[in-house]
Parts: sequence; C-alpha cells; structure tokens
Amino acid sequence: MANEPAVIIELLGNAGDPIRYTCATAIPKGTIVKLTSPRTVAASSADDEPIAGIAAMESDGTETSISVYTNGIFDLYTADGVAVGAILAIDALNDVDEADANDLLQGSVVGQALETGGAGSTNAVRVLK
Amino acid sequence: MANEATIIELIGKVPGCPINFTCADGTGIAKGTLLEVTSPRTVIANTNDNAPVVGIAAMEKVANDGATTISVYTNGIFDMLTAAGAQSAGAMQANSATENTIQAADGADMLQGSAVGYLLEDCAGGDVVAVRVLK
Repeated sequence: MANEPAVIIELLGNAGDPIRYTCATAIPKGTIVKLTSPRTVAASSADDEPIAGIAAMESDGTETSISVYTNGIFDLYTADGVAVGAILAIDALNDVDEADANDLLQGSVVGQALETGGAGSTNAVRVLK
Repeated sequence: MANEATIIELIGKVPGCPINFTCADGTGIAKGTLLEVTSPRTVIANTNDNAPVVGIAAMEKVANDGATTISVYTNGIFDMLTAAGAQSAGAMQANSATENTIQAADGADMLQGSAVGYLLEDCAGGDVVAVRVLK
C-alpha cells in the first residue's frame, strides 16, 4: 500500500533511542516526521524536508508532545525503488527515495537501504537520526 | 575556553554514549568542549576548521593532573553556539576554526568527519541553539 507508515523491524540502542519533540498536529504512529523550529515535528509530506525520525506513538492532534524513534531498522515504502546500501531521503508522505548531496546538508536523509526494492515496494531501512 | 556546549538531553542506552579517548596530560579541556580527533585516538579542543570531530567532552580535564584519557559524549542534544548567518532547523552543522562554535556544513565536511549534528531550531547566527549531536 502506498505511503503506509513505517513498520518496526528492530529497535536499536535504548529501544530506538526515542527523542521527545513538541507537536501540534495529528500524527499516526510510524509516520516519518519532519523538523520545524523550535524542536517541533509534524508529518513529513514533501521532498527536501529536514527529518527528525519516525513517530513512536500516535498523536491525535490535541497532544503537545510526541516521542520519535531515531535508531532502528524499519520497513519503509518507496514509490521510486531503491538499491541496497543507498542513502535514502524523504520524497513524500511516508515515501523515501535515493538521496542527493543536498539531502545530506539539509537533513533530509532518513537512513540506508538494507535491501533492493522496485518501485512501489516496502524495504528494510537502517534509520539513524 | 568559552562557549562550551551545554547538555539538554543525553540519548542512548548508556546516556550520551560516551567513548574514551586519549588526551595529553598537559592539556586542559573544559567540560562541554567540542573535540577534534588526532591519531591515534587522541582528542584536543577543536580550533581547526575542517578537522574531524568526535564529540563533546563529558568531563573536565585539568592540565597536568596526571590523567591521559577523557570521556566524550557522542549522542545527545546540546545547546551550542552558532557562527554568523541565519539557518533553518534541520541544517547540518560542522566545526569551525573558532572553539566551540559550529557553522553550516558543506559537502567536504560530510566526507572528512567534520559534521557535528543538525539544528533542532532556527538560528539567527551568533546565538545558542539546540543541536542533535550523533557521532
């Protein structure tokens, strides 16, 4: 299914090294979240956004903080396809593709592909933010 | 030294994921100092732009106190001083030639190990902001 939230394969570090962020909008669990100032997250929905990690819980839009996984292996959807080992960046809502150099500098990297997948597939990705 | 990083939050199974490095007995290093690595596995206070960075001093090292190792935080959120120039949250940061001062990273910084982390909030330049450090 396109744009489905990330699914945990393995949490690393201290159970995914969750970090607390401020939030103000509804965020489903497993959503790739973008960073806004100051130390605030929302669902990422576009290319080139700075990424903070993956929502560790659901926010219904009335909560003001949310926990974000920063360290683990997750199944992530790609509309374009990925090669194993490639650095991946955000492309659209819960959709990653292979990163370019700007993604490295603007914080749009999500992780590294652990397997090769074609367009429209879901693949294991090492996430470390 | 001045403008040392201040802990906001230490992250990881062992808070801050500290790593032990060698340091010269005659060197004084303040807690919170941004550190660059020299060979072999030795740290000094960062004062060289484009030097490889390993983290933030987790303890104070008093010069000539007999100690030749120091613990270095590698995983956390810290308040750090930014160089001139406005930047947006998420921007990758690297060291600079000014002690304990970070600046916008470029492509070379990413390859040479000079990246420190990324901003968690916008900065105007010359201000202290929260930075996600992961080395």
